[in-house]
Amino acid sequence: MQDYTLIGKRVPRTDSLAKAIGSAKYVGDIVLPRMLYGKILRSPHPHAKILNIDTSKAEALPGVRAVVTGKDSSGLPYGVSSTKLDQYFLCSDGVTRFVGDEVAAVAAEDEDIADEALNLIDVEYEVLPAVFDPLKAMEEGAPQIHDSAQRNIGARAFTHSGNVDEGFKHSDYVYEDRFTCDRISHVQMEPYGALASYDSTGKLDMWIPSSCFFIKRTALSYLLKIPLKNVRLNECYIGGHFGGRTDTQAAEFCAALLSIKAGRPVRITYSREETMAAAKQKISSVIDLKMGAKKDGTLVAENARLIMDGGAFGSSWIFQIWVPYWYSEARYYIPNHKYEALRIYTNKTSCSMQRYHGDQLLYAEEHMLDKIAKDLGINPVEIRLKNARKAGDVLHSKSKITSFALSETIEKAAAASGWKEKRGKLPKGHGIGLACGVGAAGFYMGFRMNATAIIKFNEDGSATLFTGVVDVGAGNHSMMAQVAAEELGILMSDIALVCSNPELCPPAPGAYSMFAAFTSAEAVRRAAVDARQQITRIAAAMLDVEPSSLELKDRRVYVRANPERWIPLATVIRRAYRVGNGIVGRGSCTPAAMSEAGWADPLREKPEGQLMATYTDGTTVAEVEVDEETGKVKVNNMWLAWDCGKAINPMAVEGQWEGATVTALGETLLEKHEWDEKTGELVTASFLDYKIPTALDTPNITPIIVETIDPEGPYGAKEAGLNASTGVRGAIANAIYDAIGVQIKENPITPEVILKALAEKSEIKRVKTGQ
Amino acid sequence: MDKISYRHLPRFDHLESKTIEEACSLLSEYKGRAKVIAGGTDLLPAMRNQEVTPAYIINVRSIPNLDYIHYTDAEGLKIGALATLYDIESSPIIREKFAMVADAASKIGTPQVRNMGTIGGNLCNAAPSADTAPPLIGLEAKAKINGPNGERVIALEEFFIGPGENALQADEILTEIQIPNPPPHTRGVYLKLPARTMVDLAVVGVAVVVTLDDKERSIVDAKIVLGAVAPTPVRARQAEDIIKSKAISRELIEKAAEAAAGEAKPISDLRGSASYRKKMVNTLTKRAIRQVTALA
Amino acid sequence: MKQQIQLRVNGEVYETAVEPWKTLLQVIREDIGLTGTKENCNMGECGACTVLIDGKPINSCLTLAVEAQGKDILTIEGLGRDGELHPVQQAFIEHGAIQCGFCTPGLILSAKALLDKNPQPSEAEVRRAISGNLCRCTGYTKIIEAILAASKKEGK
Repeated sequence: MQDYTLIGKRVPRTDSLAKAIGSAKYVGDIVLPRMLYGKILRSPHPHAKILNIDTSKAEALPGVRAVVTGKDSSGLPYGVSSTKLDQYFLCSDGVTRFVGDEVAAVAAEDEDIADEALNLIDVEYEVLPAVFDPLKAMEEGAPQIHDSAQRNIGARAFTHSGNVDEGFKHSDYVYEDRFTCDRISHVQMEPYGALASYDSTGKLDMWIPSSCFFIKRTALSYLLKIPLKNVRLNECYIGGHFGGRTDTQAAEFCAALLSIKAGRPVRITYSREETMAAAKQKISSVIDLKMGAKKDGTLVAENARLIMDGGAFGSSWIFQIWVPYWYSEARYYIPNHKYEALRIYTNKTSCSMQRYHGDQLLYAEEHMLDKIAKDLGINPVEIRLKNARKAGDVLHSKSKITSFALSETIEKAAAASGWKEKRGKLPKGHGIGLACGVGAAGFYMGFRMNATAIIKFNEDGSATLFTGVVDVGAGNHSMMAQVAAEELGILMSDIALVCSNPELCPPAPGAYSMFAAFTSAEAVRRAAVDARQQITRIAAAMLDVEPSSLELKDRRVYVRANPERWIPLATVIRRAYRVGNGIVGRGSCTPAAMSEAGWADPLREKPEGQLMATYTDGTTVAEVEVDEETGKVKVNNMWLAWDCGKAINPMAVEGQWEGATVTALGETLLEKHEWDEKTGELVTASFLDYKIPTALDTPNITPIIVETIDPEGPYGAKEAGLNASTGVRGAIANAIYDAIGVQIKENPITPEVILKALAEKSEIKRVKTGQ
Repeated sequence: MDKISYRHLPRFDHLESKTIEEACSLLSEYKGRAKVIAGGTDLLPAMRNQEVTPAYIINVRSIPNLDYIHYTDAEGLKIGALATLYDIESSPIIREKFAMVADAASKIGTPQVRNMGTIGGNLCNAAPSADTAPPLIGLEAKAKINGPNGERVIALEEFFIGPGENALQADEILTEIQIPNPPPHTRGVYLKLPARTMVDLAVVGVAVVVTLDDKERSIVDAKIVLGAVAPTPVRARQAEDIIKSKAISRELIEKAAEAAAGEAKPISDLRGSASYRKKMVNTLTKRAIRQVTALA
Repeated sequence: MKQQIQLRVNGEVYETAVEPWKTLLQVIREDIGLTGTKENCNMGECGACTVLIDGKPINSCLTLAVEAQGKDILTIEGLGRDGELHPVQQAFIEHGAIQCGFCTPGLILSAKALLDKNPQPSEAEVRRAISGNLCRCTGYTKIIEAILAASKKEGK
């Protein structure tokens, strides 16, 4: 185990101070001279043609400086992937597709005037029939939401390895049932919005709480027809993302158009209701799952079919339909594995990436696995150890698992939770359950996977680090400083960070697809190592030793074998400018061996190749108490053992996992979006009706870091984001099963769902019983 | 949903009242176009959602000395309408002598809301789920109301007319809650089933106040008040009759709980279905009676 | 019709003209320019707008600016002055209780108000005191840890 100065240590983050004293500025805090306030007019209909928009009264209102509609846009369609461009901002294709779809936008001297102006815009709609249920949307004759999508099927994933029919024949026990998981929201605390400032020399400055500045710049350049280098996305503090802030959204599009038209900066800040209803949500799934096992607990076959409700637009459909399978195949070895996922359009808010794709399918599998274990008389821990994937496995997709420790996480989580002492021995109404989860660093994204970093130095030995990484709150910026400081032997506070801004920084994937550590931190490490090599070369000449005999530590360059001989780093920096090119460190990283195969044709069945850069894995244990009369479930304790490769900052890693666990708990027990059947309005658009956990609702959480030291990641790090909660739903459902003997096939598990399950003595259906 | 882009309040004029009389006279002058503001925790959200758009808002928090909590052995408890929910939650005398009222106040909303919201506001807002109502009704509280023609006192039970509707005339304000000293051997409890998280509106609220005999083996008098399961808080009188003047027993309690469920008339909404609420009235009534009669 | 008002914020008096429908939150952020207090739900449901008035945590989004006169208002910027952080701020930083930071100012003020009143709270009391401040990033675990740690250090 290597000993580091900073890596692996619990260090306070570099961004915490500004946040603790209230000086951190988020988009809604930024005020520019002559700034206008923008507001968006939203469609009240779930599906309608726009026949006419009359903005004249709004334009005439004193204080209104610009009004834009679809006519002002380039009319170009947008999509997260260029293979599916199905969204026209400001409904420039003349159709609104969900209640909340943006139809027009205004900019005025103050927000009150902007509000009033919205009232003065007259829109003539031709209301079209709408459909909200994905199963109904697939029926013949259902309203068609996009011309290109027959029966509203926007995307389909399909893969089949082995032969599941044979597999079920050879299984001793077979189970089959349907699970439903409802729609939820990411609920970033910062309401969405954007600030745009266009100046007439053709430069567009923007501030957007985005997870991916480089990709967003490209999208905006394309949509607004402004050259790439003139679209400047400025670094700002961001109040959460969780998968919902990668897509380009109406806020930045409208703010930009308004600013261009008004010739002044325009800031749009969404209300909380707009953020819930008109930004992005997370898909719901109807999962038909069938699993077969031998009587010794070996899994033989699985057939999963998912119907996903994706809402009005495609967004990041590729990840949404595929990642559940790619996570599932990496968890247990199931020789015959069939999977189909259909992403359906409905006239509702559209759904984007989720912080942990696939947790819905993983839950269904974990819950079914516990039923299998019960019928076979096998301990839930044992059945998982029996089937767990291992390091070195090659998956059905031909992806290889390098570092992995699922079995170890099962054992560690079970031990920490006191599983042996508690299972079967808890008082009535109490239960303990576990579930495994899988995550990964990185999807294939072509050249976008690359992260590059540059370090330059000041004459006092301090440094500035340029990296395209984005910190949406998880601590990415601090991680970069920690890595650079480690390699250069200086303090984290010696490093100034210039991040995210595509004009100033070299590229990076940003804060999504779990690549921040795996590529961005690795690029920073390489840049620091590169700088160190340049530094030691200069210093070696000054000290008359070999460069390889020198170490950097405590802002000094010293001879390893003879530490009394040293020179200040500052001296070397200055010397470098005298004798040569100065010290500028440069590092770049693209994950090796990632295969394009999966993405070359997104409609291809059974993509093969290295589809994830590397896999992470873990186990969650939950201890619950169920009140059988009221149906209320209380989660008292949770344990989470997760393999992140290497925890660069254990305190930050734990914080991520604790947050992810509580969010997943909220989604399992409390959170659910509902729409009005008649009007298509989102009924749960406020915190009153859409309830996330408060400090009174959370259990004790014990995070256990497992380190497998990945061969490729920086210091062995893989990812430590939100995949850690992929086991939470299953663990809670399985704990409820242990507590009250019934199984739950719908999420969220509200009190009424519990009472219904108790009344029906609900358990997952067994369709074949072995001898 | 029409106006989800709106973040702020609609326009209005703000008037301060320095006395009760001034408040009533302003209400009279702007009849139908004015609303009273105390803590603002119910009014301002409703205005932001454009559910109410008064042209005038009359501040009554500017009236001094209306936030008192006075107890005397003779007259019991008198609470000024502007006492905050936090004042009530933390008042030593209320915690000692009327614990269920402090408990109910402590279950409302968040700490911030309790610092701002007043008992008067909670009652005048007349939400069917108002948490302070069932315990106060169970304790036979009275409401003192001031108007341009003087003051009147009515049973709090009669203060609630319908969801969001109270017994005040357009030019009256609620100024005091009076709670008489209950007879000896009286115990009360308020049980609330919040919708999802702990800081929620009630799906069901049940207050039970019983007066026991000297030996504490039978129930001399009982009040059972249900919240959130009817247009207003309601007394479950049939349930009360079942346990009044009877010896305590498990069967009796279960019978009463069942009767209470029958007397509830809940609707189905986001927080719960009607059938679930009826079941919960049964469960909470049973638990509440057991608790106050110390029956495990 | 704008009204001339005086607000005492972080010990300093600000004079400004506001319409009656402006909330204290709007005036703090827009007129006075202190953006540490955050605007989120505007319904008193999330606590991001929490400030202390006369030492008590309240939702500034539900407080009319014209009604906040004559009171002592404390925002996050009023803590940790003269180069010294308040123990709660220090503890939040040291214990990793801050992630995206949007809920942080409100939380720190709710925590300070708790410790001022109850210097040695139990974990249950801490949870209750912050139950009106929503956080989506941290799961509250390290926030509770930080507040308990600060309470041990405070001892004033």
